[in-house]
Amino acid sequence: MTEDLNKRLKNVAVIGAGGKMGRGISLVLLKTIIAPATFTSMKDARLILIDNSLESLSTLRVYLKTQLLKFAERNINQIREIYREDLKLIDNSEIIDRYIEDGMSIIQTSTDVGCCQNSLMIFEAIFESLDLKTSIYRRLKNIVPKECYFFSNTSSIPISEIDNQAELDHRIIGFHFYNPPAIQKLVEVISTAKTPKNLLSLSDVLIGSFGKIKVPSNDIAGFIGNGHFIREGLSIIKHLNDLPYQQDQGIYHLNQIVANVMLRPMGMFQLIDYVGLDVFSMICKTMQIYIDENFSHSLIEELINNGIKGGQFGNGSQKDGFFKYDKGKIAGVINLKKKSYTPIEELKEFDIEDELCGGTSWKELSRSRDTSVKLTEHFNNLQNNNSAAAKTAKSLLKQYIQIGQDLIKGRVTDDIVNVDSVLKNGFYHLYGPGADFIQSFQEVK
Amino acid sequence: MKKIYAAAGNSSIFMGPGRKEFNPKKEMPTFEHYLKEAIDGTLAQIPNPDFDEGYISNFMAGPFIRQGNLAGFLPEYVPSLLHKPCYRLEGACGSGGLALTSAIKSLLSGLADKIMVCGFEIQNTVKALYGADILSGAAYHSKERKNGHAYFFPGLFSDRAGAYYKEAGYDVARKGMARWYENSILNARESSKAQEYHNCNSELFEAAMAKPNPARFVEHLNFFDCSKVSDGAASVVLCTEEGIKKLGLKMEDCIEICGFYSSEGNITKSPERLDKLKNTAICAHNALGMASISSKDLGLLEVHDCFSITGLLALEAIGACEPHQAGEFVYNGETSKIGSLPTNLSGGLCGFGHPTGATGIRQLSDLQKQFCGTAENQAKVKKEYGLMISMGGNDISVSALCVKPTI
Repeated sequence: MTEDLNKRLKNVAVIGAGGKMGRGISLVLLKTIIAPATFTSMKDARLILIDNSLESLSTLRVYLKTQLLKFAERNINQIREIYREDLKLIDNSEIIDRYIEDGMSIIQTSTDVGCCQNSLMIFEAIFESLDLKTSIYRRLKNIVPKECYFFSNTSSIPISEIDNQAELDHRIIGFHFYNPPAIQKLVEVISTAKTPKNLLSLSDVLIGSFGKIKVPSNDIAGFIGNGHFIREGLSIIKHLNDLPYQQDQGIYHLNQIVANVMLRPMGMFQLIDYVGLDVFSMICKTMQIYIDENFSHSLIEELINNGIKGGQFGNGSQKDGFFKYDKGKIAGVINLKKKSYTPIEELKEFDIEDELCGGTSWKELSRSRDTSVKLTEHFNNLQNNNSAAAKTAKSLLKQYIQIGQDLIKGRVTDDIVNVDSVLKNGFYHLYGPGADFIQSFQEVK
Repeated sequence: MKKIYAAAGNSSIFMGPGRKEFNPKKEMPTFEHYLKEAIDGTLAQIPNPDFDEGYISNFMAGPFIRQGNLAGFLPEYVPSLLHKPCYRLEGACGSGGLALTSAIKSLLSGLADKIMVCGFEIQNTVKALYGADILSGAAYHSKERKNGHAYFFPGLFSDRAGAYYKEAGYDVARKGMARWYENSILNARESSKAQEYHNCNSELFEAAMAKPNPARFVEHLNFFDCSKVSDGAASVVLCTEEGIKKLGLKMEDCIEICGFYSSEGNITKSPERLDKLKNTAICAHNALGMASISSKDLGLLEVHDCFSITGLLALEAIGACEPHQAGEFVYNGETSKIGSLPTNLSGGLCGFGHPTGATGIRQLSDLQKQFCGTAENQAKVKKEYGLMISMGGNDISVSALCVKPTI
């Protein structure tokens, strides 16, 4: 299998390489291909990076070169070993320069998918549209060798649907990386009953080579990650109606509860801003096609119609969405009636930290050695608290567990452990819906 | 022979990882800043700052900051040196020691009575990874660099540590090295200009007991065994008795340099034994001989601990303890502030920092303050004599100075 993988790694292509996910996947592949341990045998490899924007490809080259420099600096001992026999290369600076030069020389960028004619593995990370994906795959299958496998980064479209529409003879598997792919450990792997065994085992070896964690998901729209995230996001937005507050106050309050009481790296509204309201909406629409549930909310559509889309600028800074951001921090909350952002100074601050958190935080617990013990204590305290904020938090936790269980009922996965793993590794939750210490919230009325 | 004195020692803050204000992503102070900070502090202690000569020690200003002709900066910060003889001395990390012994010879020759000696190094202009390329010039670059470790000198001294473990036993050596680190940081915490002044780790010894991990670093050393990358400068005045009068100094503010020696090893040859610093031993022996004393007369040490193992090896080279006994000697607290032989009381290279060209000057400056009773981390010195070892490269350019109080 390793032999097969090495052969395939010598002929890889990424479609949509200039996008946010595509460039990360390109970096993961590049680092795998030119890993110090196998570098010598991979010098004749070709990593073909395709994007329809020349500007994106140019930015991509700069990005990869910068990242390669960091990679080389971190792995200097192994990289010195690669060039041990080259007596002209002596200093770290010379060796690193050569490594980057050699690494970049295996890259070929193009706007033409025709360049993939010899590719044996193709990673696709284009816009999340079945029509677009189908059209690209239809072109690709006529160009590439018969033994080529396709790895789609789709986060919501069923793999079997792409397979059927593009008539790929089941040579496709879902490889859903999390953003940013070069850093996030999780890859959701989506296979179907028809996925060839060879492709399945190749995927396992490949994920090992990437140094990633694999979580298998069944081929149901949204899979585990978005299956949980989208449903929870919508349920929290709907929860706004249950609060006795103006909408802006409610958004701020619920966001605080998710971040500070449920102990997440950020609140749900901030996470939707990070993902992008347009992306969130698009995933909802995809899931709506395949699943008989309501995946829409007027608030999201209203914001998008007002040109508020969240996501990030090219330099990585956060665009405004539910919140207005100042240097990455929440500065205001959307007020759709006034079509403006209410400064957070004008909103009521709840004493959530003091009342419910006992001073702990996601940041502190994520670095703690006894996270489970502290989480158990935290949620016991929450269970015994009857404040309005506590009641809201309990209700959201109940929902959190329920959505996890529904993924099993809906046959997205067979085991809650997979849900926990996706939420912990892909969303940086400290616990998943299967955690013992939150099960008591199922009984909350 | 004339008596030679040292006075008015001073150093800048030694800046680098560990100091709260250190941030390589922002614009950092330049060498001019550090040099001025050190020299101004020295000049402030001298009523009539009129010097006959100037010496400046530095190792690699060329590659680190693209600056050569360093002696030309002395008249800028010491106006009385304009149109006087000024020299730049280079002997890798032992540059400071070489500047000191060269200045002493000039004083002994009768051509000068009062000399300003300073040194500096700026190393944080490049990442440590590339700094290692530059600093490897302290060894035989064209012959040793290629097969050396990425960080180079940690690799060389790791080999020395490995050889030492075989002779002395790993456990006792490791305990001694961990105690060395602990003492370094405890002393640095009492020295406001030290790089490790802000270190607040409550488990120093335990941290430094970490087993070396070759996958992460080198085979026989952990990160706590190493001095860090530093920027900084130091200065001191060397003078004759006549010079003391002319400068307007008081005798009690000076220390006497009663012995000195500089010894050069052959940089093209590998050490005869990795578990010994032969050149350091010869150098210390000659300096002590010149002062007509033995290591038993020493009450204070400033040794070149670029690595904790180098500190242990230096103790044995000086004769402060028997071969392969330094681990136990240090572990038992003999080199701590209240031990029988207080060593590196401002933190040494591991604690105070190691801007290579400045280190030797900082060492003498610290001995002067200790013997004059003005050190921040003042010890009660039980014996009359002190010794400093300044070492460049792998036991190559070594200088030793033996000192004593004037009163």
